[in-house]
Amino acid sequence: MAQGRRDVRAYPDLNPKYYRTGMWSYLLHRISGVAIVVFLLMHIWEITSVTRGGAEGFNATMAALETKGFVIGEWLLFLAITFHSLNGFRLILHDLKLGVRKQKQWFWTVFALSAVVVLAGSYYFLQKFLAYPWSH
Amino acid sequence: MKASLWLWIWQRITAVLLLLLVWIHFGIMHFVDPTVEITFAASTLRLQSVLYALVDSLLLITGLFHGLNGLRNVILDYWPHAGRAASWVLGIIGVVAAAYGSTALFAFLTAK
Repeated sequence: MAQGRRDVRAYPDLNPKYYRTGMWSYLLHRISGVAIVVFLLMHIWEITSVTRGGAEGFNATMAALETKGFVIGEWLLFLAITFHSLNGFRLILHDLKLGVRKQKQWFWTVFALSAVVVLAGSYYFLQKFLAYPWSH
Repeated sequence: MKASLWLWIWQRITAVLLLLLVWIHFGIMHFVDPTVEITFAASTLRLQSVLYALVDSLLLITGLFHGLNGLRNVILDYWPHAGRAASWVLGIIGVVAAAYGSTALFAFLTAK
């Protein structure tokens, strides 16, 4: 940690105050990526309830997950995969030498597009959020 | 070609596959009928169609590879010399998770 703080002093670019576009892209891609892989492992655990408890075990697990709290979690996952998909697509285009000189503009395009997709998709999660109880 | 370059290339191949697979899966689960109850019967019906069984099986493998290899990249940013150890630990987690996850797929595919 002490080392980390010294690095920030030595490299002002590492201080969020001085972040430029590329650092925000890097940070958002990383946070969304780590969140998605943590979800994936939990998702495998939740779905294999069928291995541990058969049809009844699976149905009980799925019913238990029908709460407002988990809908919020699903919505956050939707946020993460939307940005990670669109930004990852941008990175692959840049790998193929497409649009590299305009990467800053492309990042903000991806950011705006993500916001539009999330806003449009939120309607479906809102339906679910309203339909489910806080707890069983 | 060096192993790390293969990992770089496979990260991109799985990325392109996941763009398709994740959104098919997420779309069916969340946008077709958002408030429908997820049950064993309905999941069995869905997974016993060849196309959807293929989507979910591929999703399990490509998702685990892409996610855990991404985690390896994160680890290497903080511990540049941990490549070998990270490959082993994450590799084992990946194989175990893929094997255990496929027991669920198998349960649905063989259900009456």
